[in-house]
Amino acid sequence: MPGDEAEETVRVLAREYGVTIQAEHLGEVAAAWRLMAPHLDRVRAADLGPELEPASLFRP
Amino acid sequence: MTLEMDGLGAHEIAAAVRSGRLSAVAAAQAALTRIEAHNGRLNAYRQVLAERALREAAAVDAEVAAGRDPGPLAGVPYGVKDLFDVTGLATAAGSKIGAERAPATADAVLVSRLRAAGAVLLGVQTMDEYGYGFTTENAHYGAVHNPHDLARSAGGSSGGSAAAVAAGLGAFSLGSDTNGSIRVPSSFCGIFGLKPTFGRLPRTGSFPFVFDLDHLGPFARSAEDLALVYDVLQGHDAADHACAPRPAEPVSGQLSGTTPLRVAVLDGWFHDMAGEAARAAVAAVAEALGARVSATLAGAETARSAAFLITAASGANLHRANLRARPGDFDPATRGRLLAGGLLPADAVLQAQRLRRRFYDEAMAAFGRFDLLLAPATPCPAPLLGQGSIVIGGREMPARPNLGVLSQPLSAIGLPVLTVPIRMGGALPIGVQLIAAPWREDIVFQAAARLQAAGVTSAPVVTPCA
Repeated sequence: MPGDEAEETVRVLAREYGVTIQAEHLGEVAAAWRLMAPHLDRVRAADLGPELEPASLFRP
Repeated sequence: MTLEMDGLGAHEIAAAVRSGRLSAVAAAQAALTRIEAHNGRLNAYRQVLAERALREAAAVDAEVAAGRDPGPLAGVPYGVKDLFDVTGLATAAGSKIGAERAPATADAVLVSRLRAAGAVLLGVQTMDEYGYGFTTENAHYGAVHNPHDLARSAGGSSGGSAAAVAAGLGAFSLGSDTNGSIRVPSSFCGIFGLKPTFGRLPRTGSFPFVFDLDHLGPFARSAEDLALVYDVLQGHDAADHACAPRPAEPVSGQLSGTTPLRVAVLDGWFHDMAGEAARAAVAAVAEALGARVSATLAGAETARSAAFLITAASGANLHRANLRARPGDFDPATRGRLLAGGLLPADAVLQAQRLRRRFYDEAMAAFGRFDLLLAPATPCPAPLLGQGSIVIGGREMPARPNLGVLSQPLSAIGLPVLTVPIRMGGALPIGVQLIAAPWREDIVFQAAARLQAAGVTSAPVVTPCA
């Protein structure tokens, strides 16, 4: 993902989710987003059947 | 009577103190002297607690003098990663913000257990900020230097804890492992490290990172010492909701077990993402354990990605208030990653949790056929401090977030892993992961003991050169 695209993605998501990012930190966050993006794509692409419960399932 | 302290292991020190051949105060003073001599170059300890150490040591000696048994770790000096509560200290967790917290009013549960067993706390050890790193290059407290080569990383995020043990600044340390933070430094520093089954050891009184993935565990220079410490640490604590209500299952008495083990070398991701040194180390361990087959854990790369997202989201949530109020006080290396984690969509994080389940099922199927699985702990030996990239599987990639590619899938599903150090031909050490099914720490310890007895693995004290 090109740097300017990552910065724009971060700006849009931060606005949508109400996350405050100082202007001087935008580059850092964009770099981190570029690092994370392939992991996000890989996780989203996985086809999971309804029988797979989350590992974090809470049991009182 | 005095003993030559340098290089003595925990079990040797404890035996000498309990028998009166060595005073705990002498053991503590020797450790403090060694810290004074070498910590300036290593930066393993963020803060040395000399007064507490000598006070605890004197108490141990008083027990011995009164004819009472001070415990299985009598007089053994040790350190803890900077995220364990220590009475009277702010638990900084490698951060500037954390250093401003009110001092802890009680020791972490694991620290309390060690004190009750007679161990002597030397200080708190340098780590990556909030545990978010694999190299312990901390903007606030400095980098930890590898005792084998001071220009190289000690690994992270428990870098200080590993470097201290490797250099003999204490007989053992406590660290934490969320995605590899015990196993990576064990590999780079050439020592033994245990990440137990998730939920085995209580995390009460330690600063968290990722509630779903945080494990606590020990480092030591031998399988016997690691087992001795691990046995002291075990036991349920209801205050940690993730701690399993299981009785302690000691392993020290089982190290010489001769039960045949069905062993396999993990292929696929665990082979493709390993460099030449890592593969050679695994081959040496496999030969010594009689492993002649390989096993595949399908989905390891995706499981790693799942852990990556869960970590990012959890870290962002945990530090949300400070990221908003005082972002400038974070380490630049962690700030961007924590902020980015707050931008992840919820359904992706939930998908990641379900992927953990799928990979867990895959692993459990493998444990139906094998008792022990082998994989490198890191793709390569310790990189240089400040090294920007590494080459893995023919691809150049950023070093800092990718040194855990081989550890992360396994901690994602909470398997017990013991890392053993391998040194081949005078090269830098590198670790091999001994992996068992949940709650089968006895198997990883037996394997480590066999490797040690065969001369395949060892961790002599390293004196850092100027």
